[in-house]
Parts: sequence; C-alpha cells; structure tokens
Amino acid sequence: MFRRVYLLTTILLILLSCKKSRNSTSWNSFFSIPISRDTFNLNKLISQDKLYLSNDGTHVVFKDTFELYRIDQSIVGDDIQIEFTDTIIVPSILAGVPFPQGFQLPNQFSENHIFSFKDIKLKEIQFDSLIFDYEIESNVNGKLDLNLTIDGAFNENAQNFNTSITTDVQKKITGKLNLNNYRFDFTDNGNSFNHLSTLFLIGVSTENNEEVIFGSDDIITIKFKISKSKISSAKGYLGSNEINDTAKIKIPFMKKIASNNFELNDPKFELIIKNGIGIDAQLKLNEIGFNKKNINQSLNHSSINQNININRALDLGNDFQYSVNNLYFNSDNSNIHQLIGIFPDEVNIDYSVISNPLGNQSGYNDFIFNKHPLSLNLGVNIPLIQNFDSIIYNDTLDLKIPENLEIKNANIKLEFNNEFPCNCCVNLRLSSGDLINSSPICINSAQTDLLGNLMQSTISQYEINIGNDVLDKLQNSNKLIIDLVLTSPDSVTNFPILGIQNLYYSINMDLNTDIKLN
Amino acid sequence: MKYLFLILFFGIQFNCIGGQADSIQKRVESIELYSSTNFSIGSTHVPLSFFKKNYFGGFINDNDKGNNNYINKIQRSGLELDINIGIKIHNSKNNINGWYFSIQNMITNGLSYRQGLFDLIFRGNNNIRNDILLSKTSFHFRNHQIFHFGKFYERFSLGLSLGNILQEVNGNFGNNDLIGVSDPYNWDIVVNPNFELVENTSNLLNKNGNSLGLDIKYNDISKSNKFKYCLEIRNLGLILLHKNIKKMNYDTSFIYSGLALDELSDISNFSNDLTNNFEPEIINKNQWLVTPFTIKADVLYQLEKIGVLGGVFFRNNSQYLPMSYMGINYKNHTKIEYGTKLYYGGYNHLQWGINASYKSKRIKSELNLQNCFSLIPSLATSFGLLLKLSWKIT
Repeated sequence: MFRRVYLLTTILLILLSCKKSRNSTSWNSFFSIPISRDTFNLNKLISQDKLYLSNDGTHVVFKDTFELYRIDQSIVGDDIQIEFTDTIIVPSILAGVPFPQGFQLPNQFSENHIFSFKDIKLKEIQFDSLIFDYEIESNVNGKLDLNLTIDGAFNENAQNFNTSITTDVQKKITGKLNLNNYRFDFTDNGNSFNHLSTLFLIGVSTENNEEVIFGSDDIITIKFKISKSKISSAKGYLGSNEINDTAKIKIPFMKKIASNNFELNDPKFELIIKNGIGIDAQLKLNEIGFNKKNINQSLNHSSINQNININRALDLGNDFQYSVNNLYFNSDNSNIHQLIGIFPDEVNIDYSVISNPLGNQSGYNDFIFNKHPLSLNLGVNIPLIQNFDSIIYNDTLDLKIPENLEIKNANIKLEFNNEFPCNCCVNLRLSSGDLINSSPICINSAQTDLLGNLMQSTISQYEINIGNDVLDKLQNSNKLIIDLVLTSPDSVTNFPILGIQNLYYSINMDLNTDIKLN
Repeated sequence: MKYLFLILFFGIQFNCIGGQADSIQKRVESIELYSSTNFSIGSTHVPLSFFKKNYFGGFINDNDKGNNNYINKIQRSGLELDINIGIKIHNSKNNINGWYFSIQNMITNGLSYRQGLFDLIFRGNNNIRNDILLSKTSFHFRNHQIFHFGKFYERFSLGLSLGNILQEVNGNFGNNDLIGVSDPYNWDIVVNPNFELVENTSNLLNKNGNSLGLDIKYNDISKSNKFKYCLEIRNLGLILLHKNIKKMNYDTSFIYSGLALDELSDISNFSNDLTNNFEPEIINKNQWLVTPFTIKADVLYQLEKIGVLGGVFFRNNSQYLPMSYMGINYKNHTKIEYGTKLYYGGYNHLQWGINASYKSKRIKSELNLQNCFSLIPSLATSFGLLLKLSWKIT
C-alpha cells in the first residue's frame, strides 16, 4: 500500500513540475539594423512639371497654381426652393355611382404652378440629385391609384416624369419621389418662367375589397416639397445676389516652420479670377490676411478693397470660354516679400461678390454649370535663389518601440552627403524636452563658388550613443521631437538651387537588446 | 483533462508493475496490457538548458546558446513524445495468435536549420559576416491521435491504423533562399518559403484531417536460438487534410537598407501593407500527404549472459535523422537485464545510454535512458527516456 501511495505521489509531483511556469523567456542579442536611407532632391519632392530651368540655367523656378476658393451653383441654389400643393376635387357628377376595382376615371386633373425664386427667372434647371417629399390626404371612401405626370420634367431619354401612387382610405400617406438627373423645362413651351404643371389620372385601386362610391365633397390634396437637391445646371436670369464671406485656407505644414529671415529673389504671385459662370459679377477683396500664431499681416496691393468687374463666361456650344482676370503681386507693388517670411499657416480672404450687378443684361441667358465654377486661384512663380537665416522646422514623430524589446543600449550612426547650399543642424529631444544628442548634429553646406553655385558636396558623419535611461523614457513616451535648423552659408549671397542637387542620408543603428517572449 | 489522462495512464502501469490486481486477473485470463512511452528532446548544438528555459521561462545566457559553429552548418533540434497504450487478446488455444488494439498519441516537433539562422535570432546579426543560407531549412509540428488494431501471430502481425490529425504544420524554404547580412546595414533577402498548417478543432472527433495506415511487424529467431531480429513498420499510409488548410507560399527577393522617408513617416500603413501581403491563404480542398510512418529494425545476438544488439529507426516526413544504435546487455541469474548503448542520429549526434529490463512470466518492463549526460542539463544536448511495460494475464 505504502509503495503505491509513494509511486502515485511521485508521478503526480513529476507531472506538476512539468507544468509550464508563467515566467517569460528572454535572451540578449546584438543587432545591426538599417533604419532609413533616402535621397532628396527637388525633383523628388516637387512634381517635375512644376519646376522649370531658368533662362540662364543656374537655378530652377517653381511655378504652380492653387485653387483658393470656388463659387458654384450655391450662388443660386439657396434661392431655388420648390414647394407646391395640388388639390383634386372629385366631380360631383361621379358621386353616388359605384365604381368597380381597376376602373379608370375618364377625367384628367391638371394644375399649373409659378414659383417665386426672389428675382430669379428660370428657363431650365437640371439636378444631379432631387428628392421630393410628398404627402397625400384623401377623404374618399376607398383606395385610389393616382397616376402623376410632371410636365416639363424630362429624364435622359426625354421622357416626362411619371409615377403611380396608391392612396389610403380617408388617411394621410407620405412618400418620396426620386427625380435624380431630371431636367426641368420651366418655360411652359416658351411662354413663361419658373413654371411647372402636373397632371393626375385617377383609377379605383384593385386593393379595394368592394366597389368605391364617391361622395359629393370628396377631395384629394397632394403636397410636394424638395427634401434634397443638388443643381447640375440652370439657365434663365439667375438674379442679382450679394455674397459676403471669408475663405480660410489652412496650411498645416507651415505650423512647423519658422525663420529669422527668409529672402527669395524676385518672387511673383498672381491672383487668377477664373469665371466659368454665365453671369457678370463684381468682386471685392476686402482683405487678404496672413496669420502665424500671434502674427497677423494683411496684403497691401492696389486691388485690395476695390471693385473688380468680372465678365461672364461664354458657352458657344462646342467652345466654352472662361472669363479670366489676373492680379499680379510682386515686391514692387505689394508687401508679399515680407509676408512669405512669416511662413503663414492660415490665409484668410475676406471678399464680397455681387452677381449681375447691372441686372438682366443677358436677356434671360445667364447660365451656371456645376463643372464650370467661378474660382479664385493663386499662381506662384518663385525662382529658387534664396538666402535664409535659421529656418526652423519642428516636428514630433511617433516612435513605437515593441514592448518585447528591452533595449539596453543603442548606437545610432548617421551619414549625410549634402549638395545643397545650406547648413542643417538637428536636435533630437524627448517629449519632456530633454536633449538626446549632447551637441547638435550638423550637416555642413555644400561647397559653392562666389555666386553660390555648387562646386562640391560635403560628407558629415555622426554617432549618437543612447543609454538605457533615455531609451526607457523614449519607450514610455513613444514620441521623438526633431528640431531642424537650416541656414544659408552666408547672409549676403542668394544661393541658386538646381533640380539635380541631392541630399543623401543613411541612418543605421546598433542595438544591444533583450528580447522577451511572454 | 490532459493530466487526468496521464495520471490514469501511469496508474494503469503502476497496477501492472504491482501485479496485485487479483480481481482483474480472474476475469480476463488471456489478455496482455501493454504500454510504451517514448520521450526525447535534443539538438545537435544547444544544451538541454536551452529547452528548459524555453519551456519553463528564464534568461537564456551565452552558455545556453551552445558553441559557435560554422555559420552554414546544418543543425537540428526537436522533440518526440510518443505514448502508446494497448491490449493484446491472446487466442485461448495456443496463446500465440491473437488480436491487438492500441491508442497512440504522437507529438513531434523538428527543425532543421543553418547555425546562422539560430545565431541571427538568438545572438543577433552583429557578428555575422557571411550570407545565411536557408536551403535545407525546414520544420514540422504534429499532434496525431492514432487507433491501431490488427491480428498478431507468432512471427508476424498485421493491422490498420486510423488517425485523427489534431495539428499538422510543415514548412520549408527554397534551395536558393538566403539572408545576406554580410553588410550589416544592407540586407539581401531571397526567400521562397512554403508553409502549410492545419490547426485543431474544438470537436472531439471531427478534425481537419484524418489518416489511414498499415502496421506490419515481423520477428524471427535462428535455429541456434542465439540470433533474433525484428522488423516493424508502423502507420504506413496516407493523410487526408480536408479543410481549413492554411498555406503561405511567396517568392520574394529584395535588398533592405532602410526605409525611405515617406515609408518611415507613415510606418503604420507600411507595416499593415507588409502584414497583409503575408497573410496565409485558407484552403478547403482535399490534400494528401504520406503519413509520418516509422521503420524500425532490431537485431540481437545472445551469448550466454551477454547479448550484443543493434538497430535502426527512421521516421518519415520529419527532420529526425535516421537513428542507429548498438550496445550490449548483461543478464544475471535474476530476471533483470542491464545494458548500455551508443546512439547516433535523431536530433543529436553520438549519445551514450543505459538501459535495464525486468522480465518475468507475466510482467515485462524496460527503461532506457538515451543519454547519460542529460543528468547534467548544461552539458548535454539531448534527453531521451523510453518506458515499456506489459502485463500478461495468463
């Protein structure tokens, strides 16, 4: 007996000792890891079709056009609200006669509506999307099939809108009509504006259990209202309207950049007002403000706060002609030079637009197409010959070190080969603000001649040793702050840049790490 | 449940050893209960302490990682746990022929790899100055439950084995695959791996794969009664994997020398793309594999009290190298026999083992310790234990 107990206990203890413990397995390894390697040049950063070689071949010129703001169908859309009610009074002659299920009344019920859209006189309007909400109230003692035709509402196949709705017995029903992509002719065959007519045919619904007998005062009321719409195009006289607004253009990237001094050689800017709407307009740029933190500066130029007359676009069938107005800004006629140096992260354009300031000059031939808006564009022409003092770029990188890596020591190796005429110093900081590198890592400027042209690249190499304590903090915060300070080699020369100048870098790391498996 | 099974299993053996279950003996006179448990773990280069720390946890120090070897030397590591419990029903007329039924749970795991791959993971690439070849790098993990039954005769037995595939994982790399880290900051990766795995299901019987095999055994003895030999093939057949087969197969080569700046600044997207590209494909189509059958041959030449013996063991579809052994046994006047063996193969090189057996009319038991040095885990690179028990109720 004792032997059995002894053996069973021994076996049990052996089995229990074989149970896997919860301790993690770990080991130490030394890794050499390539982190990042890349080559920068302007052709890589900026699309090549925006860079042009200067006439003398010494530098590149950056040319681009940005859309700042656009005005499209919203200039009339808010005023075009369609809402109407049709009332069908059942002829008293039909009263008291029993009509079987499926019987079609011989009468047609037609209604005309003239809408008031302020001073807008529409001949035609087309919608990308249009949903009508309807509400039908009937006091007829039976269900009726209403066949609705909207005269002048045409689909892509030039067919009138037609649908069938079944009413309920002495009850209100609601529903939606989908008229997406329908074109509305509001002229009543060339005799009117803002006109719409509806036609109803009435049948006795087969859903009734018995014949329907109309009363002498039976009435059906149908209410229509737009619940959702997006205008594709409109024609007619589109009214005179004034819009006062402020367009805010945010440039988040600029938040990370600041500079003591930044000089570009003869930059040119152009405000392009491109009108694709068939309406004359008057634009007034009340103010163009450039903001950066607490700095707010306004553009000074002769066009500011002045009325700018904008001609209408022309639609000649196969040929569509925009009306274009250009306003030029340079160092001579504005303070643009000064505004660039603040690296604004927000530009505010306070403006007002009056459409058809002289009234119906086109004889009801205004037009608006969604695809041809009125836009405010900024054209830039910047020769890349520059001199700057301490352009500071500041960014915070998310740096997630895997939890099962316990890095004891890291040695980061940096190598740069610089062909650009600027010195660049880098500081790496923890989120607490503590510096990781004891002294700045500086990439030396390329060697240039007296005119600032590239002669030879320079190579800079650095090693940063990061100890366990800093790595712990980095692992806890998961953030790495980078300060980049760019400065021209001297403060006198404007240094030219070519598209083929490169900055090559490589970042490698030697790690002494414990790897942990849970 | 697993522990309960093991306790019951060992409990049955304990009853067998004791030989005092008189009530059972009276009921089943011509039945022989037997069991065989074989556990071995080993490596061609890392000591047992490495496995111990992998399983029980702890810090794997430099000694646990084994010696530094030539970077492209092929190394093997693995484990085998093969538990069998069965019953033989002897024919009451001659007590030689009869039927057998047994249940086997086989868990094996094997890896074949270059030393450099091990070093890369456990020591890092800092000191590797050659390309690490991935040819002949392969691995498997399997957990099969097999039911054996058949008829045995005096010299011959024949039966079938029906298996449930609980887990079957196989993987290998292409012949030209390599990891080039000779320049530590410019990695050259050429890989064409082929991974395939079938996982267990929660259903006790309905698994993702099944197997059918043949068991054959032949043994004989010379006229002089001095020379004995035995040849055994187990589970020779096919596996049918029929659903939820996960496959990974891609052919890629690239040079990695660091991420470009846009990849670095959008690292989460980059890593998602990378993960998505290497997602396994799930296949619900029949796939046939040859079973991991075993072939075993033993010979014994008996001279009075001393027996000279030898044998080979082979497992198909495994990184387990065919193992051969030779040894001597000494039989004293009692029922106990002692012996010693030299093994070569499996997941190890040369091993020195000892064994003892007890044989009586009813009870046979045998205990093999495959590597005596395993008693010092920091020195030995393998451990193997074979326990065989049988109790014949006459």
